[in-house]
Amino acid sequence: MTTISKDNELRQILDNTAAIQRDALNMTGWWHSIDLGNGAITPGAHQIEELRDNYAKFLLPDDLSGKRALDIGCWDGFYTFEAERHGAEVTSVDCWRPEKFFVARQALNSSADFHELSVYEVTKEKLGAFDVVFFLGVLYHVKHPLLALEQVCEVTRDVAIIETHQIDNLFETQHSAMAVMEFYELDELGGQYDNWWGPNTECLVQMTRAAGFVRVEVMRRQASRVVIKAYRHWNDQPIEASPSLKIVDVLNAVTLDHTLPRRGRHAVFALSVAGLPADATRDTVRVEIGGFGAKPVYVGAWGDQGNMQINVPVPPGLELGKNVVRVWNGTQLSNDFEIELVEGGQW
Amino acid sequence: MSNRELREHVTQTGVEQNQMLLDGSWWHSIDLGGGLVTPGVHSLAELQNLYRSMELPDDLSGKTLLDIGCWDGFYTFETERHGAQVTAVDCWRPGNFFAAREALKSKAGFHELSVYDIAKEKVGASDIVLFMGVLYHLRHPLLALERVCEVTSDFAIIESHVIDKMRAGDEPAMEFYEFDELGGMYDNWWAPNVECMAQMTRSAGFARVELLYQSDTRAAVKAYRKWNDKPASISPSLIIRDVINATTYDHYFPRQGRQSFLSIWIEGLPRTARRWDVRVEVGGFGIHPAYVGPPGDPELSALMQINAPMPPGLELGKAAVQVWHSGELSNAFQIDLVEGAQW
Repeated sequence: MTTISKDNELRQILDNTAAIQRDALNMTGWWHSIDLGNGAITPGAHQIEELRDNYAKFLLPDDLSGKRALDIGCWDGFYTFEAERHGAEVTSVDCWRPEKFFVARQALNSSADFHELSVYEVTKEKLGAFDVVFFLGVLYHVKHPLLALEQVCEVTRDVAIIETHQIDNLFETQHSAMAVMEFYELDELGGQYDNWWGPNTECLVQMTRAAGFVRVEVMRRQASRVVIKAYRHWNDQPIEASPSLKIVDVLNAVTLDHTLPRRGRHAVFALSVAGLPADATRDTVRVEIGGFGAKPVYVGAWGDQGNMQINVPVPPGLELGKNVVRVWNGTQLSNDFEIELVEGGQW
Repeated sequence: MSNRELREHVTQTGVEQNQMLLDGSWWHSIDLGGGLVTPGVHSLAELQNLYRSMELPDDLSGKTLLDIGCWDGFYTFETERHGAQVTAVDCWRPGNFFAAREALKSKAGFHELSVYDIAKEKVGASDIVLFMGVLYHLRHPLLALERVCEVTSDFAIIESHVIDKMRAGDEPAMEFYEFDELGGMYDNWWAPNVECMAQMTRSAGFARVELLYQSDTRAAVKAYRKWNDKPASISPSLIIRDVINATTYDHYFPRQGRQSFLSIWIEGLPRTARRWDVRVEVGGFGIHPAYVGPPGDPELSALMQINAPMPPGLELGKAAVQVWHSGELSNAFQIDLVEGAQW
């Protein structure tokens, strides 16, 4: 990140843009421009070219057939219908019932499924898991952004596209790795009462990993917005297990016993591993539990046994019962270690 | 100290305190009587000094008090000594708390709960709530403050690590720690500046926030559920004409969830009234208006509109809504509160 000074001019532009968009919305009632066929395009506050360009820059496969997609904060449904057009089976969620969504859905003969839910109510139990999750323009509207990202992660089985307002150009930081999030008590952002937090890009990336995603790519960054792609899987697993790396035991890092809950504040595991080189760190070591990647928070010596200890939070959305744990570091891949997951507390 | 020196100092202190705990220290020094003081990382003098800066009344008899994140229990036992009936909560079972409780023959209740599990339904409401040194250990600080507010009937004392001296700029903001960036500990997640802490506390539902003290890296605020300037008698010139739900535009009043937001239509409020000098009270709890201005509906142009969130922790059934401004108090307008959604 370059050195940036607080840019009040940009804040003014954001206020003006928000006011213009509100006026446009009040005139037509549409937020999204949606191509209903036969030359009919809904008169959205956002132009269709802009929305199509946004979608293209997500770099999703052209063919989404056989994939389940979830559109959280769908509003009029541009991204719902666009993903459906590419073959996905789409579920849409918003915290209210956007009537234009239903108008467009009918006009398009769409089979998208709609649920009126708060983002905090989005769970695997209610909706199942999805290959692609859209979380576009929602994060800064929620009071508890990290909690929302945890819910997004729980229902994502491959990749989530997360788009938000960001404050890289609005806010001075001491150093580039400083992760900060600005608070809006009232209508300080864009004159709207439903804006709560603006993270910088670094904070967004760190929160997304802390929510349970293992890899994050910044796809697009504009003056005050950013798009990231967040993945549930590592992309560098060696093909064959090597006898030199062995998981000896998996313990609960909080309770120090073999009770392994799939969620809640005790869902952090300590792996005892033999054969991990002394220079391995949390940045080089990969963990996988039940098919999902998990990012170690600590890698170090395990007492004086000569083994190494890896502490890792349990990835969200795992099934109860038998699950396989694997570790790799560079070209070394461990054995499959089977654990039994039990239910945990909500928190 | 420079920003870098301050961060290094925090890390160094964290490492030293951890080592003391590993070597068998308690976290709190607690006077067990008979000249016996537990060997805490924090000295008795330091804790007593902190207790004094909380400015609690000397006599707490008849008061209920909740100590969230009690650890070894210094504040639990100190407030009990001053007469309060204390309930202590932590997210684990701190063995030393029970040892001290027995030694002191304390009657303090204990619940092992996550802060997010704290609800009026579970632990009741307390006159005073202590929330000392917990906020920055949480992944969802604003959600935790909402829980704190729900169980507070008079005031809460909220103490936290703060970053005012660690960054330039005074915008309300908090810093995120993905790993052990703060003090070398994995259970530190967010640290706000004082402005952010005050704004979050009001957004959680407290009516008034006062700064109690601030040092290089810590601060405490006193957060009140009630306004302190309510006029004694109703003035005929300020009249609430109607109260509606600001999200559903009808007379549905859920006490919680995303639709628990009020619009008050009021006669006699000057056009110049601003949201920071208009007071709203619902069911005895004060709340900050989010909006004060002309109503959206031109047919109501003789009135003013006040939008305010519902204060947390209200009982179901009848509740009075009252507004005051410049010494003028409105009528008490009855609304009927029903259960809402969790979110």
